[in-house]
Parts: sequence; structure tokens; C-alpha cells
Amino acid sequence: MNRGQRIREAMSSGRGAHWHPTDALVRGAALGVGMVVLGGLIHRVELVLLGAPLLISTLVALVTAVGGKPDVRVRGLPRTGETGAAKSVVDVDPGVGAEVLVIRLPAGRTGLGPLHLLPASARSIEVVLRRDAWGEGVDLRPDHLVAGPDALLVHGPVTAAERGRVILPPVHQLPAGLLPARAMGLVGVHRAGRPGDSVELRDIRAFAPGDRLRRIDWRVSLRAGNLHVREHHAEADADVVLALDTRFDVDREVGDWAVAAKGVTTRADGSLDLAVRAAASLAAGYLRQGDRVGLVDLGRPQLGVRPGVGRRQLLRLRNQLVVCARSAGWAQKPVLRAEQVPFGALVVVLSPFLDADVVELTVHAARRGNVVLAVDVLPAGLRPDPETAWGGPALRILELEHEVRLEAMRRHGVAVVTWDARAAAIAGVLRQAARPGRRR
Amino acid sequence: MAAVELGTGLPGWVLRAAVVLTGLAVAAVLYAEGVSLTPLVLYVILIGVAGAIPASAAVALVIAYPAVAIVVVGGAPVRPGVLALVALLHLLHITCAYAALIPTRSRIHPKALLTPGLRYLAVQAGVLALAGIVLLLPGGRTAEAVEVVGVFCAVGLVAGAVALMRRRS
Repeated sequence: MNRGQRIREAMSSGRGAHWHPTDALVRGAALGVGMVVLGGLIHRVELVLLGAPLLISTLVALVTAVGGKPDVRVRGLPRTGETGAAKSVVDVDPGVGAEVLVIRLPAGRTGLGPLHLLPASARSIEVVLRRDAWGEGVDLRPDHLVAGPDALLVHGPVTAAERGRVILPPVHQLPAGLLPARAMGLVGVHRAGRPGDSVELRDIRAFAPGDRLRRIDWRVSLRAGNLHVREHHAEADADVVLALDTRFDVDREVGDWAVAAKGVTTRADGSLDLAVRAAASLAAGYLRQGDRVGLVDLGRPQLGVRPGVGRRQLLRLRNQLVVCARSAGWAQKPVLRAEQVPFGALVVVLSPFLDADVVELTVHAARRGNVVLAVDVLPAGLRPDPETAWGGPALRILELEHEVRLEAMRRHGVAVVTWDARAAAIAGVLRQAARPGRRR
Repeated sequence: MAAVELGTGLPGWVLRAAVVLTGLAVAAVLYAEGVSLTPLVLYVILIGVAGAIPASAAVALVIAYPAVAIVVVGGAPVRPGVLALVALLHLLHITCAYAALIPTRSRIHPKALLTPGLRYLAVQAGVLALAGIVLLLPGGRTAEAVEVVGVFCAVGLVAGAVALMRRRS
């Protein structure tokens, strides 16, 4: 045994991942033997009777063979999951002679859960893991201790390895709409600006060489006296770039904005939580109709995801949103370079818009020719700092500045919507934008 | 093997409450046996400490004191008070041993205590049988030779227990 092991042994008082006697064994042996012997020596039968159970209990524990190395394994725990409950199984090999098992398991609630005193015969234990918040987290850490008869000999306690999952941000069902008209592929669901083969009428014009005969509108041609053809719109898919502002994570309490949230990645119902939920919902909505959706982290451009399609892209985006939220924090300036946004793509900027830099970035994106949707994720009903008399006036100034920024974006042709917890506002805006006859 | 569903179980403080209740029952028996109130008050305080810290030396005192008190009080060797103390002190010893394994915020699944409970009953049955034998055997002065044999047996018992404990640790 080297010096480090000796120090560790001394610090743990002989406890740890090996079989060792407990205080109860010493107590049982000392009192049992002491009472029986003393009772015999001084001829007091009651002392012998009182000590006999302790002595027998201790002898049973010492005679029973205990040994082996207890082992605990977790199976059926996926790396990613959705919010809510999930099941997993913990397999226990308690070793030889074990009688009870003390193991830390979640009891259907969030967190690692309490310790459970179980019979050692329970070899496979089904546990319900519950997480109600998205993000990375530890679901299971099966710390354990195994005890022999009457808990006089124990193995442990052993601190087990943590087993965690990434809970993906939830997706709200949103109507589709507010997409730019641009031909990118062979098929799509959005009306493109150029003529094509959809059923939606674009124009009626005079016949020109190269026009198909089946496109001739005979009624108009007869009325006009020369041949006219019906021109239809093309159908195309679209690119959507979700630009997430991870520099700020603020909640309703203005006084807490400068204080780090303890023990959580993001503040519950804070701006970053709302932004991530909104991004996941928008991505799901657009991917469902076949569009390409990408992600840009305005605070850390290297964390972006290129536009793509399909269910795997949705999973990739939701995973990356968790990564972005984990790395969130102060960045000097938001970055949205032109090469990060495909030409003609819809840019959705999700931000609390608490500084002029992100407004400038949003307006520049609009000036480059992209359709830009600014989603304001500043939580509604901000509360002033109660610890200072200037809390109320400071909040009022903050709200006015925020409103000025939103109005400035509106004046530059940026559609501005506010995201609430139920996504009702943005759903209304998208529904309105998707109304027939409206073009952007 | 099919996986066992993890039930709710009982709160962890139940075992500590059992320690305290058993200790109070011991105190009541001692009071009935004629132990004065002043040491009993100190004893109840010790019970509280044992309930709060079941892995402490207070438990040893809580078990040892009634044995000493019952010898000091005197009386018939096998009587209801002594038999009650035999059962209660053994129960106190075991509940403290298990309570020391888990914190108060843990969950106890009653099935885990089934085997220890059965063993407790078996040991108590053995001790009751021993008490019955004591009642049946005739009393009287023991021969000096038997006394010496008894002393050697006692020394052997102590040496055996120490040897077994050294082998385990």
C-alpha cells in the first residue's frame, strides 16, 4: 500500500469498496460477550439472557460467508430523450451472503433520487426517470452499499458513475408560412417568383415562340383576337436560418439579470429558454414541409448547423440547440456573416433585443435581400429590482429602449413578433402571413 | 429475471422513530422495575441521541444501561420485565444497525426487513428456550471446579469473538 492509499484509507475510516465490519458488529460483540461473560462470572442469569441475543446475532453475522464484489449496471438508458418520464433498468449483483441493498435511485421525480433500502434478492430494478426541463443533466447515479446479516458487515458505500441524458427542447405545433419565394429545387411547397408548373395563376400574356399549346387560354384569346397563354407560378422549397442570440439569458426579475443562475443551464422561462423552444418549434414546422433549416449561434458562430432537411436534421438541430445553450454566455458582439446565410433564405433572429448590435445585425440581414423575421423572446411582465429605488425607472427606460429597437427594425422591413410561452402570437402572425393572396 | 418495479416505500425516518419508540419502551420497563426517575431522564436523552445518530456510541450505552440497572435492582432472574428487556434491547440493536445505513431522507422498502425480522424471531425463540431451561434447572451453589470451567469457557468465548472479528476486518 503506497502513501496515497494509506491516506485515503485513513480519511475514509476503513470504509469503501470492500467488506468491512460496522459499529453495530463491534457493539454486538463487545456487549454480547461482555454481558454473557460477566453474567456467568457474577452468577446473574438475567445478564446472560440480555447478552445472548446480541452474541448470537453477532456470531451469525461472523459465521455467514460474505464476499464477492457487488456490481451495479444500468441498461436501457438512451443518450437523448424527450421531456417527461422514461424507463431504465438497474441490474444488481450483490455478491455472496448479501442480505440488503442500499442504492440511490430516482423515485419518479427529477433528480438523482433518495437512497432505497431494498432486499438484495432484487437483482433487476425498473426505475422511472423524469426530467421536465430540456438540456443536459444527470438522471442516474446508482451509489450503493450492500450489507450482510443484520447490517453488521457491509460493502461500501460506493459512489457510482453518473449517467446522464440530453433532453431535447420541446416542439410546439406551428402553422407554416412566412417563407420567401425562391426556386431552389425541383419540388417544394412555396410559391416561387419565377413561372413554373404549379396550379397557381401568375399571369396571362401574349403567346410567344416556345410556349406550350396546352397553356393557351382560348377564352381570352377569342376575346383579344390573338393567342394568349396562362402562366403559372413555380413551386419551390426554401432555406430557413434560425439565428439564436445566446449572449443573454434574462428572466422576469430584472434584479437577477447580473446574477448567475445556480445549478441550471438556462433560467426557466427565461429569454434563452424561450428562444430555444421557439427555434425547435420553427425548425420542426419548416422541416415538416420539406424546407431546409439551419442554425446560427450569434454568440459563437462555430456552433452553427448547415441547412438540411428531414427528421435527422431536426434531431441534429435540437441537439445543437442544447449545445448552444450550454455554451451560452457573454460574447463581445453578435456575428451573422453573409456566407452563413444562403441567398434568399428566411432569417429568423431569436433574441431579447437588449442591445443595438443585434438590431444592427438584423437590419443588415434584411438589407442583404433576405426576408427577416425578428422573434422577441424578452419575457413578458418584467419586474423591477426591489432592492433599489431606481428599479422602477430603470425598468421603464429599459422597456422604452427595447420598444425603440423593435420599432426601428419594423421600419426597416423586418417582421417583428413576440414569442410567448404558448407560441400563440407567432402562430397568429404565421397564419396571417400564409393567408392566400398575401405575398412577401 | 423480470425487473422489479421500484415502489414508494416508507420514509427513512421510520427506522429512527422505531429506535426512539423502542428506547422509550425500555425506559418504561425500567420504570416499572423500580429504577428512579433521575437516571431515566438521562436515559431518555441518550435515546434521543441514539435516534439521531444511530451509528454513535450512545447506542451502546442505551443497551448497556438497562442491563446494569436490572442487575442492580435485583429480583428473580427470569421475570416478565427481564424477558421484555431481552426482546426490546435486541430490537434496539438491530434497528440501530439498519438505521445507521440510511439517511432520514431515504426510502425503506419493507421487503428488505423481512429476513432480518425472521432471524430476530428465531433468535428470540432460542433465548426464550434458554430462559425456559434456566427456570427448569434447580438452583444452588455451584461446585468450584464448574466455576473454573466456566471461567475458561468465558475466556474462550472472548478469544473466539476477537479472532473472528480480526479475520473479518
